[in-house]
Amino acid sequence: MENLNRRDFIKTVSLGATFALAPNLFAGERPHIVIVGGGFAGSTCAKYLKLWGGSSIDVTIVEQNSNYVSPILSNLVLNNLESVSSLTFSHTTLSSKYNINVVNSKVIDVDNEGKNILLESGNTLSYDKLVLAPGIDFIPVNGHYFSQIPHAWVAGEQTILLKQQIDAMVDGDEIIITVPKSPYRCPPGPYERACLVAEYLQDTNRRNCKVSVFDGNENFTVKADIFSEAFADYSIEYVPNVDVIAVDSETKELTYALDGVVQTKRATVLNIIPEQKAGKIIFTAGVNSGNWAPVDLLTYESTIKKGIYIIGDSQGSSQGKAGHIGNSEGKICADGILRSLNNLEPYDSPKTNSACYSPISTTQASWLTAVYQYNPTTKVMELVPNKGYPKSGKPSNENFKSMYQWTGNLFADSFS
Amino acid sequence: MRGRTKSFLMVLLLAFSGTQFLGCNSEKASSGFDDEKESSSYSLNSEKDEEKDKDESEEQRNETSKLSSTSSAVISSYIPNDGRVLASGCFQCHGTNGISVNSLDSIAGEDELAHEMFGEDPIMDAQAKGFTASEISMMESYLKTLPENSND
Repeated sequence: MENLNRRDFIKTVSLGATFALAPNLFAGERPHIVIVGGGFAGSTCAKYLKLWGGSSIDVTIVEQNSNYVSPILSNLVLNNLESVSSLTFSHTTLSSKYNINVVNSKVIDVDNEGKNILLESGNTLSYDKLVLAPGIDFIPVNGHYFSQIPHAWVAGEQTILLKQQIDAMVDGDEIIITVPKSPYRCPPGPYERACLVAEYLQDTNRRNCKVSVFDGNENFTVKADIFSEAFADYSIEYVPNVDVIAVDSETKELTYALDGVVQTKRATVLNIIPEQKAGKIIFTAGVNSGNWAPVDLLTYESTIKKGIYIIGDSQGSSQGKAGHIGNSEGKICADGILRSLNNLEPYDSPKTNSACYSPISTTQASWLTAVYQYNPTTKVMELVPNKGYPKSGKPSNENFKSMYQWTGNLFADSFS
Repeated sequence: MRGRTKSFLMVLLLAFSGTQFLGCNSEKASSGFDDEKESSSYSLNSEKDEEKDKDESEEQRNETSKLSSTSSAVISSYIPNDGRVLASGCFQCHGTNGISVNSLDSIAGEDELAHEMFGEDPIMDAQAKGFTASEISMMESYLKTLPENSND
């Protein structure tokens, strides 16, 4: 087969290249798609590549952690409605059900000329197509040590640390949550968190605790009407246009600028959610432009390097950064890759959708949704015009129940 | 050949039945569900191996004819389906291949899609407005081919 010959040729060439001495883990004959990152976008892409491509391809997920913890619903760990373990997903179901290889290792380098990635384990992995879905990384704030001041914006240990600090608060203490400047992962998330924490403190006999939200943006980034009403109900202080300058992780003192004036403020708990950028591998692979990775939105192939695709939070389009739409992008990308392997043109009118429920109490949630369409002139995914997107639904008990129907199917569609 | 892990050895050992490989059976390859059934039915039995041998020889013939008509090798098994791409955007909420894992409604086999999408549920209605009538029709054409019962 021509394909096999090409691969062998590439392997031979790569012997003289960057990863000369590293053993290659892959010795298959079919086109091999390697996906770096097993979150919502990466896992979905892997699953749909096999669901639609079947035995014509091999698919490997490379994930540095043995499990993935969903940030979706993780604010409910703070008020005991969820646990980190209930939000933890392994990739074993994807592996056994769809015959997807899973390698738990960190990716150190990408050699797109030789079509190889170098793993921390010392091995290499050859690919025909490389999909990068590393999620977000943080732009460091001066003095911010995550082990002392949690961001809890990647779920797991950070969620538990924030919960421990909130649980240790006594009546009269203050928590400050900072909202990063857009774009950041899960736009409603920080406001949702503030509501849940405020309710939790009230419900646990700490009614005199203060919850403050310092927003890096000029207003609520989403659902301003819903969240401003909820903030008023919970007496949450809301301060927009805050530039976080530095954090003293020991004394929990925040230095920030407001209206051009530098100020400091101490709180019992600081939950600093730093500004965000694409995951590290995007920069290592050289597929970033600024903080994010520009892509051809018909396939999510990098506009900088052919054969590398970027999906999920790291891709640079204006589509929201969240698990549900990451899943949507993963499917478009999977189809795009399969068409490309077959020398077919990509589907020229893709649509993606974003949908999420935000709990604002232990019984009520609101929702937010949008549909994006491809604009062939501007080549961007834009909100379908004149439909009122993003559209939202007011908090209700019914929406709180629907939230679990949504996550139940979203989790299953992505991880099993 | 250089070192490989156990998992990759497994991949090598897996019989790839070529039914949708190289377009030997394009009818089967057109449905995502068939692909899924196939990937869950990998086995190492001899019957499968015979099948594989037979299919591989067919592959060779197809490949030869393909190469004679085009300069680059292609897999030529993938039957693109625009309706499937669009409809896969329903699966986050309504389940993979339209089979919901909870009380939210399944949409596999759905033949009155527009009727279901508009009006009834606020978040569904909000999303439905983002699709044209022809897109909804494309999605329905695909969804109604999906089996309503899954063995998963």
